[in-house]
Amino acid sequence: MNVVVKLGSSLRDRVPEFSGGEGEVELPGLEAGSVRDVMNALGLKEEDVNLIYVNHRLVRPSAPVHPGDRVGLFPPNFIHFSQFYAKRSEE
Amino acid sequence: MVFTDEQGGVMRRILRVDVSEGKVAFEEIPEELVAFGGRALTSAIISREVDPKTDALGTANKLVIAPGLLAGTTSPNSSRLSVGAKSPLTGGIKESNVGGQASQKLGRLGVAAIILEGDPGDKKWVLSIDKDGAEMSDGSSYWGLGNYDCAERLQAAFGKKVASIQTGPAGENGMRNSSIAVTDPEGRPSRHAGRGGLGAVMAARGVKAVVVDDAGVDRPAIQDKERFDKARKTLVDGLKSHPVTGEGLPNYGTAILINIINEAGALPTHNFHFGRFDQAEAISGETLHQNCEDRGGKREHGCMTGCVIHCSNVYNDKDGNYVSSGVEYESIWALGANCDNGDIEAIAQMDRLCDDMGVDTIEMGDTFAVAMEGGLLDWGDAGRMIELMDEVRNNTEMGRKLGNGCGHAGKVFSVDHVPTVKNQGIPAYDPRAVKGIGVTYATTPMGADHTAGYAVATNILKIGGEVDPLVAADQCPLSKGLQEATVLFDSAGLCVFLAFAALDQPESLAAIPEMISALSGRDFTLDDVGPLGNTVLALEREFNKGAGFTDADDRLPAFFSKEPLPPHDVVWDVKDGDLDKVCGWSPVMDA
Repeated sequence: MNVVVKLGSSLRDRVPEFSGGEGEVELPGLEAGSVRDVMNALGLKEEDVNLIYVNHRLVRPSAPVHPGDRVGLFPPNFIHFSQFYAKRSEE
Repeated sequence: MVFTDEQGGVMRRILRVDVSEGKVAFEEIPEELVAFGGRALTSAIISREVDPKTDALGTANKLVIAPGLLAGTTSPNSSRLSVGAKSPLTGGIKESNVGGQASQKLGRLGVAAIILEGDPGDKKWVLSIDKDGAEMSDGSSYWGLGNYDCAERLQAAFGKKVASIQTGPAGENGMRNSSIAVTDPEGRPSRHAGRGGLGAVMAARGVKAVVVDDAGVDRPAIQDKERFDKARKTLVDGLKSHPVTGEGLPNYGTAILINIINEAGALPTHNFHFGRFDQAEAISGETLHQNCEDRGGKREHGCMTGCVIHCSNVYNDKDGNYVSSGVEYESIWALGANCDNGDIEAIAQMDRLCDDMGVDTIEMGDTFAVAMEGGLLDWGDAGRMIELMDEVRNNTEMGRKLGNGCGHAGKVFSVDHVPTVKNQGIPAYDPRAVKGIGVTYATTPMGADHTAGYAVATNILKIGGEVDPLVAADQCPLSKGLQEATVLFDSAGLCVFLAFAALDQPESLAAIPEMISALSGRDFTLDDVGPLGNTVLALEREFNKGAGFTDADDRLPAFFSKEPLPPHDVVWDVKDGDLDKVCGWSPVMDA
């Protein structure tokens, strides 16, 4: 089956062939699957992703996906600034 | 003049300015207000000194400008400034919050609040404050200038390193959508106390600008420096040790939210008719990021010295020339998705125009969308939007139809689909699909304001827990708790983005009252945060009651309950009785 995937910010570097962070992902041989299958197909680990939407509903990685679904994946952006702060404090 | 304690530390004073005579006087802070800063102080002073029934643009209204308690200290992100008055937009009490350089300079000078009061007649003033005191001088040569010209000339006259707080042409013309600009670290008037029309209140006091120069002064007196430094270190270590890392805010700016909120089906589009915008990618943080990279603009721009987040940006055109700074999520949404406009260059240009004439981008975008609904211009016609902004700037008859807020435009153009609460335009999250923020819009004394209790954090971003954004349950206690906690941030003068970490880290949150205790020598603990919030919210509501507000004013417009929002096809269904428990019309809910 195929699903449409929208990637946010830094996740786009991982799938450079997507234009505007969006593209189709094929899950060969599957009639249905989970968000985890989609992430595996894109080489994304669970810690890479914080917010997951399937058809605009916030879900967990185990949530089911069906042919034609829209999956939005966003990295952990918001509770983020520890590294940044550490870097600046050392300067 | 700077007042110091026995150790030479700077002590806080109130600066009262009589604009009728140009007299200035430093006063001790009344004992019962000593523990207040920022919003707590502006709201307390307004509620004591301004009759709620007074005309907001008349001679009896006052403008109060207050840095937070931590302003000027080594605390990170502590240069948020509160500006308070009776709002000419909402008719209620207003605290409008802004970053920039002025707050920390006022903190260093020991100025706890500036009160502008009196009838200036025909006089035009500039108020300047430095280590030697405060002075009113003739400001007529600055009157009529756009904010950018004004800031440049003030720096030429008073020195390159001063910060300024300014009203623009829209404020001078008494527009109910007028902002107060504050200069950023580069001296650009790009940060705005946007909401509530306070630029017009400043201009009605005859004051074009307040210039702040902190050269030659030390940091504020700290009663227990060891305790302060320890608390500060706890906060810093908390931030360092936070397990979840990323680079979203500094790298992509607040506009990173465009794609997220769009994906969540909550990005108000076409005047709040849809929850998704098909051109979202063109106006997204990712696009902005790429354009900044390609054109020599700046990502990771801080709006204040001492910022550790750097969520803002400097946006250049295709030729690499500066257009605007702080092209933020709310502005992009308001002038973009809400108006069906997917042209990021036009949005950046409009952001600059808004900053220069001194109007709030949120209110301006809401106004355009309502005017589009009323047939004044085509949806998405960015060229016409820019032409009409010139009319606002030039104070034409059409400009006055568009410069007095979204609610006013709804009446002028006979539109009944008008997204306001207390006559203030609703910001960039549809309350049907993010119900927690809907509760905040409805119940905060400020009118529709996302920052007053940012439930988006918990509804959408999984910060401070998770509450389903589409379901009415649990939204009222969530919003109420956040509204109370927000008072702490607004009163300490801290950037609300610091709360993103503090909400997940009890020790970081606790470090904030600890720093306040060490600074003041008065014990203030986490247990005091709720009561402080309640005290300030109660006096704000009391002012609004006096101004004639009732429970009927703590409601969203009826269309939200009647028209389902695609893609979720949800309506606003939080019960009125539950809202009344949040805002105190009914007995307080069980937490």
